[in-house]
Amino acid sequence: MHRPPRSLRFYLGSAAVYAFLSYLAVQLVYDWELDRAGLHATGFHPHTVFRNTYAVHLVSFAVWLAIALVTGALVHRVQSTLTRALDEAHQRANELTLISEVGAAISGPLPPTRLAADFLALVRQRVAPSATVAIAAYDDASETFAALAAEGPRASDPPAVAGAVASFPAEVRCRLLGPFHTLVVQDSAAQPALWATVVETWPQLAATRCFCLMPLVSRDRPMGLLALYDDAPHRIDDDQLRLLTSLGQHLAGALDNAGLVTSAEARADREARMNEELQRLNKAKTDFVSIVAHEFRTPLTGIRGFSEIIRDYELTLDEAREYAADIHSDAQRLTRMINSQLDLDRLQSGQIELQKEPMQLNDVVAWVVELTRETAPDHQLRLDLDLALPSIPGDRDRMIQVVTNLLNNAIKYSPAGTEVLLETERDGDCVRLVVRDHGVGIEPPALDRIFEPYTRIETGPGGHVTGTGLGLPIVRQIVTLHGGRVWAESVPGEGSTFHVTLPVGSDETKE
Amino acid sequence: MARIVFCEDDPAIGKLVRVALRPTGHEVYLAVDGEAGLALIEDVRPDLVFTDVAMPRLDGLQLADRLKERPHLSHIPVVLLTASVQRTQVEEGYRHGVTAHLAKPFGAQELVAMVDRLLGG
Repeated sequence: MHRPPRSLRFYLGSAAVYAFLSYLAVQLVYDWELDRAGLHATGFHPHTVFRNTYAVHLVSFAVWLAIALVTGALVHRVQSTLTRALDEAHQRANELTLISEVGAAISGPLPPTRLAADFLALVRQRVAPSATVAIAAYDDASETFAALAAEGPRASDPPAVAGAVASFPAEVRCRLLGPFHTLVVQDSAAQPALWATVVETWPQLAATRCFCLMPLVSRDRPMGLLALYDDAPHRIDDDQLRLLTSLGQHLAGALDNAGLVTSAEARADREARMNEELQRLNKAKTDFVSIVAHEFRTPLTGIRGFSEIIRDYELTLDEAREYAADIHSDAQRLTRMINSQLDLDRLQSGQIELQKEPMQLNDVVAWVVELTRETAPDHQLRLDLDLALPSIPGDRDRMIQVVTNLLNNAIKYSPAGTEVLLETERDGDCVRLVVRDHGVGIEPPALDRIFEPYTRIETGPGGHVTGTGLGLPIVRQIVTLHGGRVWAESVPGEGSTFHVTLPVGSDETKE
Repeated sequence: MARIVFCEDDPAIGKLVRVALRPTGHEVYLAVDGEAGLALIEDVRPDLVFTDVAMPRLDGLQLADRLKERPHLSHIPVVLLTASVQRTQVEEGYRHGVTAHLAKPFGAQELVAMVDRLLGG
């Protein structure tokens, strides 16, 4: 038998006692009044009350009892309604406190993992101890969810473990991301088809009975996911869902803000860096233009000066011819400088693509030396080639330029009669070219600078050398584009040695 | 007849200066860098010095400073050869006590006029 509630029993019992006492008091007073008025034939004796008028007494008592019972039941009803309302209000107050606590905890611009952890620390106490709560962030680019944090007995299992990336089965996915519906499975045993697809993705969830996936949405875009699951069924009630929905909205907004703040910071950083780089480039450009202008003025001075001399001075025909030849060579030099400058610029800006094909460095060196012998009869050009040298992927014309520039430099900076040695050799994964002269040499501080455009270095007594100032920068640019390296070594007064290494690359097997 | 030291690392310009100044009868001495120029100036005690700004070892401004440091050389007028685009270089030159500046590319007449002006007084 179903026992009525305790308070109902109390009220009904009290009502019965009250009815009995009321009946007794009223009936006694009534009897006593009758007796005093002399209407009782037998006189006033309490025991006659019960003996003489049974029917009257019974009805009277029943009426009293009925009134008392109805009143008792009403009081009970009122009291229990009040209690329920108070409980409800208390629960709402708790929920509001939690919501405001969560709101405060995740309002700052925090990183997403921190937001998720702070959120879970507060929410954990409101769900059953057997439940696991996890939060994942949505990645637009890969369309996957990456776990941020989790709390509960299965928090350290995939897919909840932090950093785990999940891509959902299509059935789950379209429910979550399409209309942004919360997916609630109160008992997985009751929805075997859906559950099979979930377990297929995450075998770890096989034992889970109760499962809830709530999309976290901000500005109509998915920010992430709140997952709640339990090994027992029917653990999620409507109150809990409502509370989680409300909390989830806070979290979604916070995650969205975190993303916006991060991307805004990244953009500001990028812009600041870009700005610095632009300023640096602008200064470099200004410096460069003034250097180029200065360099170009030197041959221009010769052209202008000698043409004035031919025009204004009294000269013999031979003198005039000689100065005209000076003008001509300055004009040629200016042309070379302009061409070299344009060439270097195109190489640096990537406007020129290397035409790489398998080539033999030895062939290039031998060819350049053969050509140069005619123009430099006063120097002894000696070759020491490693005939077993593998072929390399290279741009033959550009490589000719490299060898020519290095050889011409060696000849220019060393006195007539001295030897210039060109060696090739295998050097690990590279082939190496060495150009050694016995010229004036280079002071150590200048060894790196000579590869910069228009670097002027000491050329030693009597060492008048005119060039474009761009030979070595072009060499370095070409070698770098081949993935190689070039550097100089020198003992001042005894000569310089230039080394070029070029990677053999994947063409080694080819003959 | 005066002696002129010309410090310039480009031999083509050296030749131009020699030829351009030949009718004036002045003796022209060439140096290819600042240090060689300083030694030459100590040797020949010229009446006028021309120096390029950009030179290896000792540049034009450093050379001007060295001359000012040495009492027996400090009176020699120094002409700085500059690229005319570089205004700041000219100002820098005057701070280092140079007497005048000549912008490249200069003509033969310009050079002779400058020499006459600085030696004429």
